[in-house]
Amino acid sequence: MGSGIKDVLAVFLLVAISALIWTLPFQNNQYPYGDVDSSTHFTLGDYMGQNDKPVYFLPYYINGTIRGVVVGYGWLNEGKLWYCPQYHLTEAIMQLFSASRVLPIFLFFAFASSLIAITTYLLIRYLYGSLPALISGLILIFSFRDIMWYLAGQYPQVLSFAIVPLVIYAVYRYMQSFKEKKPKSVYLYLAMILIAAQFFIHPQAIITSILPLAIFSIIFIIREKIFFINIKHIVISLIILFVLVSSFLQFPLGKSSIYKDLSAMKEPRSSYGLDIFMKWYGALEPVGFHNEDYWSTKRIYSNLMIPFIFFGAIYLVLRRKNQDLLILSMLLSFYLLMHLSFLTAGRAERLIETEAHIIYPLMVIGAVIAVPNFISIFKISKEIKLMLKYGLAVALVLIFILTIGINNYKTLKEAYPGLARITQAQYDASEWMRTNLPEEADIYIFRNDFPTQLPIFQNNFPTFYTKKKWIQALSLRHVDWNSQDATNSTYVILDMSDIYAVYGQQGFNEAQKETDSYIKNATLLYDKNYVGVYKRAQ
Amino acid sequence: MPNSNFLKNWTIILGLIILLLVYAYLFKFTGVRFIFTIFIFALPSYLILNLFELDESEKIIFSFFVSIGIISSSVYWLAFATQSIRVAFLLVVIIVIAIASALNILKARKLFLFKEKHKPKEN
Repeated sequence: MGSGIKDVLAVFLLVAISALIWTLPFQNNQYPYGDVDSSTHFTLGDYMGQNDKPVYFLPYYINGTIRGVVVGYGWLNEGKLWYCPQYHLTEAIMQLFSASRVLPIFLFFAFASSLIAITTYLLIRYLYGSLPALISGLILIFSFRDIMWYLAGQYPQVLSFAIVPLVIYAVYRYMQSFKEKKPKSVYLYLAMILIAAQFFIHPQAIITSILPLAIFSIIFIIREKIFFINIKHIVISLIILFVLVSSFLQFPLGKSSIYKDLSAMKEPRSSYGLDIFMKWYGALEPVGFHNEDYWSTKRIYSNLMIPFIFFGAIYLVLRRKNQDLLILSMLLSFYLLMHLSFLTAGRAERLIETEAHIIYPLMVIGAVIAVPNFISIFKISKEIKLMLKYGLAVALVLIFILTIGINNYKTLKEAYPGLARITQAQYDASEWMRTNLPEEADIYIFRNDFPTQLPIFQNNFPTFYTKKKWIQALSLRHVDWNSQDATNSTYVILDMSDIYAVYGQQGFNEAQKETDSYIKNATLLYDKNYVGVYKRAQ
Repeated sequence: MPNSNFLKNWTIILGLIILLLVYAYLFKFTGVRFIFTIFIFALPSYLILNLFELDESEKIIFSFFVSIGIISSSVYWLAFATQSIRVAFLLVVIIVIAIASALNILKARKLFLFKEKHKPKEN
């Protein structure tokens, strides 16, 4: 079998395995889930899909300045989209052609978020061959921090970071083609299209693409004495970039854009002194993404794997071929991004996601290439070296699956169980509101976590907040709980379904007493599965 | 012996069948339609990339990302004119596939090829 055919099969195999793993959160329960931003990324695509029309100005339910109170995303870009529309438009396309509302969008989230496996495959295959590439891709399917951001609902970020290896691959191929005296400009043009795609999807990933390339370019120019600049290629590349990006600058860089404020943001750091350079993550504080595991390396690599990482790094430093220096440039770039806050605009905690994208291939290089080469100093036969290479490959995969893979598999499989995600009762009520209430309806949602005497809902604000946002996203109606809305909203939704599910009829009766004053003189419009929608007398 | 292009084409078809089976097993008809939509979404970019001297796995992997960059951008603005994302998407896909296919046919007849002519300066 030719190497081209093996590569194609490997790519499809990785995509198929990714599908089996990354769709775990919704294989058995297809009701929506995710942290606070998940519903936002869902609804921007869903709204376009439901209406079969693109969005420029935000619709009422998420734009909102209602009775002088800013309640939505309208402030981010003067009522216009504040993200470039490509990612969400692609969601809409998937929905429109897959003939279902929620599932195709979640399938797209899972598909796009897991692409780091094949983009890394392509890069490592070119640098070190198919076996290290396949293993790197395979273990990256279980990359914990990618999984965490995906489960939290930061889908565009995960996809944009997955493009980084491709940009590096394309530019490296362009540079190598200069070395071979056959410049292939197509790689530079592809790199520009990919950087444009990163700008459209999640611009923060651009620095992660450019910094390692900048470091490696300096090394390449000094080492190879090849100044790989061709004016014609550069001009065409810039034209491609300009044509693609210019009409979309208005979205993320509009008048009151959030991206303009990023430069003023500071990362939470315990120290800004030189001591931070002695720590791998600098002095970043574990805030923002509130999960202890996220900030620890124990879900990324086990102690058994650390020697392979060191072997890999030592091998690259000793050998110093161009591909080795490229990987080392990526490693150095990651270190600099963790330590120089001005490069990351206050968002280095997100960039930690990319650690595994560099460390996993390095670990595989350590096991599959470095160790057999180190041992061959003892003049072992080629057969033994080959057996060692494949034996270590199998051992690494087994160690990884047993120590890291299984836990991360469980994280996906057990994500958002039961009431932690939208239930059928809440979904049905949202669908009813979408089809029966006016588009500019203001709906007050009574907080179903209010009875503090019900311990399960104590300190459980994020779940309620997330659900409230999902009910808004699914109903395509403005839903809020501000005190302004409590007294002024025309409609009220009383969602007692979670309380009933946990506490039964008695809990429901207790909770209902609290709500009476809000629905006095109101007309019951919808009543199903302990969710009621009322219209107040005006 | 079948030639390598024949084998590569069949490998792609085999890969797509594997994906279809996985998605059909997990998500029934919606899963199948989803993979079909991804295929249609990436196809125009794949055919454009086919004009260049790239290997098969490069074309497959790049095509999805190029489509996010180019196809989705084009569909977005065109959809304001057509007042339908569905129509705009189909128009863009059909036009790009038609142009790329024509160029691919010319390329196969060796009448047209994106070839690098530039010679680098000696350093």
